[in-house]
Amino acid sequence: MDGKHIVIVGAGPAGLAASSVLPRLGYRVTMIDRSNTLGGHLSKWYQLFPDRAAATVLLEQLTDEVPDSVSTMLGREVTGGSVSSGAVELTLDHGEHLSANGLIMATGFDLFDARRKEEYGYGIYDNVFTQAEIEEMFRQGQIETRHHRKPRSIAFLHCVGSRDLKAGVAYCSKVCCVTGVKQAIELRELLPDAAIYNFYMDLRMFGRGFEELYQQAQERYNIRFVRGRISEAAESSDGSVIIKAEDTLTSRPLKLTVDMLVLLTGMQPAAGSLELAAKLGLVLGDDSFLKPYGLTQQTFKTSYPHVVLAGSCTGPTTLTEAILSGRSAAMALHESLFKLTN
Amino acid sequence: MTFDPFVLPFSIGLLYLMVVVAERFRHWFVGLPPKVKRTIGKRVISSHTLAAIWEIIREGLFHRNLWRRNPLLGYMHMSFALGWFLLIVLGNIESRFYSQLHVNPPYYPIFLKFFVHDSHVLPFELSTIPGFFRFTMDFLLLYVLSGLMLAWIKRTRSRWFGMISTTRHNAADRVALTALWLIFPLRLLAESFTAGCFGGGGFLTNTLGAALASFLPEEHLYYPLWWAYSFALGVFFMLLPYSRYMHILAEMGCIMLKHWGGSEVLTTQSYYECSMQACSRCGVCLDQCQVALAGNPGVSPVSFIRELRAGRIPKEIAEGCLMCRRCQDVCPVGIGLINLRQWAREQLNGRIPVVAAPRYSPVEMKAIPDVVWFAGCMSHLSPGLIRSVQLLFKQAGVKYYWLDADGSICCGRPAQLTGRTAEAEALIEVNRQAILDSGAKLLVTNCPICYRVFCDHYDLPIEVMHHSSYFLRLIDQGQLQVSRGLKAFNLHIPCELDRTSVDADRMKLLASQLVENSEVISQSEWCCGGSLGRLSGQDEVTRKISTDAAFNTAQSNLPVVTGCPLCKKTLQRYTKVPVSDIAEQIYLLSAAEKVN
Amino acid sequence: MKSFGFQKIVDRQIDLDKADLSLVQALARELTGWQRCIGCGSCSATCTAAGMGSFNPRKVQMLVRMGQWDQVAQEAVHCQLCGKCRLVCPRDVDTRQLMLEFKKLQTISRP
Repeated sequence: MDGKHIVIVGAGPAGLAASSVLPRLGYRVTMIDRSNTLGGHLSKWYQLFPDRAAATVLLEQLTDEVPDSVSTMLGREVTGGSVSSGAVELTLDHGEHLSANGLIMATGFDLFDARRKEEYGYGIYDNVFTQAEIEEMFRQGQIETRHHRKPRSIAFLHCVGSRDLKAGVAYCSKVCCVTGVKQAIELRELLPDAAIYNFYMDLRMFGRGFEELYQQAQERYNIRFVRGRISEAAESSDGSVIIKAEDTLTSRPLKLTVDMLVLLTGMQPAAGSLELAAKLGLVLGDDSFLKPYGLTQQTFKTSYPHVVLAGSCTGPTTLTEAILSGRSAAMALHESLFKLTN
Repeated sequence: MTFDPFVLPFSIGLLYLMVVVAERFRHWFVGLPPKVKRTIGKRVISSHTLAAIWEIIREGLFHRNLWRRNPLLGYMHMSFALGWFLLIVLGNIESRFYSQLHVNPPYYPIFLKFFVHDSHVLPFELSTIPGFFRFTMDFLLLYVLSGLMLAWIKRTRSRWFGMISTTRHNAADRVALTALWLIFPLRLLAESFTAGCFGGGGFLTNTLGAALASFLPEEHLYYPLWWAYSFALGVFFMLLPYSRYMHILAEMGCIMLKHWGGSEVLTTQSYYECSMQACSRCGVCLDQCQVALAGNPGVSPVSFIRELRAGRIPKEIAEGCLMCRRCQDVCPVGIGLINLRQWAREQLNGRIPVVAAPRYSPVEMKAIPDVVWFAGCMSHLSPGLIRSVQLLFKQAGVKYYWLDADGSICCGRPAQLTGRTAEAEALIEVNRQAILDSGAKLLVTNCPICYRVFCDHYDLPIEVMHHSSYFLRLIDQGQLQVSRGLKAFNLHIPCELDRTSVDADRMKLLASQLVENSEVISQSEWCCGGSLGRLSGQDEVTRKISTDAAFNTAQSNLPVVTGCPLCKKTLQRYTKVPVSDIAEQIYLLSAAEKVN
Repeated sequence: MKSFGFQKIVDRQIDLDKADLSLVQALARELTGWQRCIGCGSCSATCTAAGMGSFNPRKVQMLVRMGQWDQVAQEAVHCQLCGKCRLVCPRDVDTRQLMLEFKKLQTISRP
């Protein structure tokens, strides 16, 4: 549109999707990301639920869609900014200024810091991991304990930093359930003889193909599901982790020793997202995620017509939703700018 | 002998007061357990009595504790207590000078100026005995009146007295207060008018009487004023046993009981009843009470005691308290507020059937350890703490047996805090036996809650230590080497360690040995709000208590170091500043020392 | 009269048609938070008394909802009131407070 300039903050799936749409509508687009790579968390993942598609393939598709005209600034940070009617002014590190007609916030999420649930011993015990570390092990093609042994038993714990008022998180991060099931299956393929457990409060298999994946995990992959939240973990002298839970379905306390405990950490607003929101005067919800105009409609809009929200900066989202919302946010911004000028 | 009908209201009031108070004291004494009575019998003629009298003078007349808190508040209370006391004593001596009798009716010294108009004495005369009395009595009256004025100012300007909140009164309190406030102005006027008509009086009453005589018909007014004065006194005395002013007498009773009865008296029904009467409703506890500060002033000790005096134990008030001891630490009367609340909880929750505590199954032990270690149930939720303690034991070469490695029976303190004493005792007995069976000479715990009950109720023949004290000892003895590497931090003293105890002092000393020389430790004496003492109350208030505590503890955004797993967990939830146990810091520093 | 026909023996069944839910409502007025429980079992897992006996605080909470007061009263006496449950509950329920109230059920006469 007459070479109007749009800045996209965040080059994860939502940012990439938005940047593939806008140049084709005639906008000049700049995409900025703190990290040195494109793709956000996707770039650290191995396989995706529910169909086990390779993360690298999806990332390639997303980046291929981005026209060369998009100016991509990686390893750069927005340090300041202001929104006025019809314009957005941003200051980058090194003092650089950017003026734009529109802004897309695609600032994403951070994983919950598992150390905040000290009772699980993350950062204290050797063999307590997060799902992100397991994903990295999958990428390396090798699963082993901190003592370089092949694990014989592994337990996943769901809802770490999700649905936990003690951690200040009331909401459900929604993707961890299926991630736990997916990773359990992947582990089974690498470790045919290991005992693999999922400790859960509820399994929320809401997406297409999720419930089927859960069934496969039960039937074909022999994953053991225990309905009970782990309350505490201790370390034994050989470095294995002793966990305590209740098997709520038999109403009996349960003790289990595993070689690895994997914490499925929830999503929380990215620290950078919060900083930038404060600078630009964007509103946060009770959950600290950026607050859109509505939760059923206008889920991309903010109180500024030329600032829109995309992806997981508005709350936990699946990859599918992040990509869709990136495109939709781009269209919403386009409509908004069109209305402003006409 | 001199008499006038106006002395009757005063005399009847005084007689009534004496009968009622004597009956109360008799009731309290009779209610004491025989053992305490025997102790009292032995101590009546001993130095304990002198100590008690000294304390009564110090706190009942001079109000030393209030002076320490705020000089204006101290002056106000002292002017009433000491001023009135001296007026009574000197008035008695003065009246004897005039009556030449050894025994005068009680009203005679009080209304002396009505019966005796010694107009030969000059108002400013100090060299003769009557002149001295006239001057001094007027001076004391002025002194009391100055306190009265301050009390009046305090109603609206409580901050000047170091208080944010002041107490509200019930009906008996209000009438008694009005009577009390009228007593001294009426005395001033009655004496002044009498002096104006007949001469006499000191520098104050004589001058005022003379000045007012020019335009007031004093000869018609002075007699009704004596009636009013007597009436105010009578009303005050009649209401005293039912108002907060009972504290004047009950405080003396408490002090005597405490000195005579020893520590055993402190948990008797009589002492509770006496001490709840001893509260002067000064309101000093209000600003200390975190539940009150968080918006629920009804839970504060002063409100709680008002309910107790009325014979009520409302559940939400008895159970809403954190049992943090902050009120008790400042109470100028020294009321055992925690014991009192504990007693109320026993009334509410104690009379419920108890089942037998579960038993441990015995374990074979290879050797007798130096230390039996009871981490405490909450410590199990803090792996960082457990790990640090284990590694520190190892580094110091301590042979220990971890009694609750695989969990345990509860120490009993939490049950005790709910008022379920019998249930607590059942748990205590099982744990006590297990501790003794270990054969160790020292019990170390990481949890101040466990520590409290181990010290106060386990009656263990071995030494009990909180880990902060124990590690301090190991450092002092050279068994642990620690580098002074900590930067400035906030030291949080857990309530159950008792902020006024030697344990708290040791924790502060330990902290001071961990920091680099120039670094500052600021101390927080706020209860984290996670206390097991709070049994009921609204969630929002509970959260507000913890929010306030975390805010006031994590000063200057510096890290917080505490000595209680429950405090640690609670504060962590309400602040972004790192919160750790002091054992974790010692471990980090000793590890650093090893590397060096 | 001649006995005739048959009836199922349903001792274990929770009969919600007949269950006494008045105390649930009374509880809802007196205490807050307990309705938030999602039965995750954290409390039972960490419970001091459960570690040494058959006590199960999660189950007690569930029995309350079903109006099974006799069983609630029987179970609650085993609680040692240590309060560890309070620390692990993701829904911030003060389970200890509930148990203290339930301990009193034995002595309270119910309608």
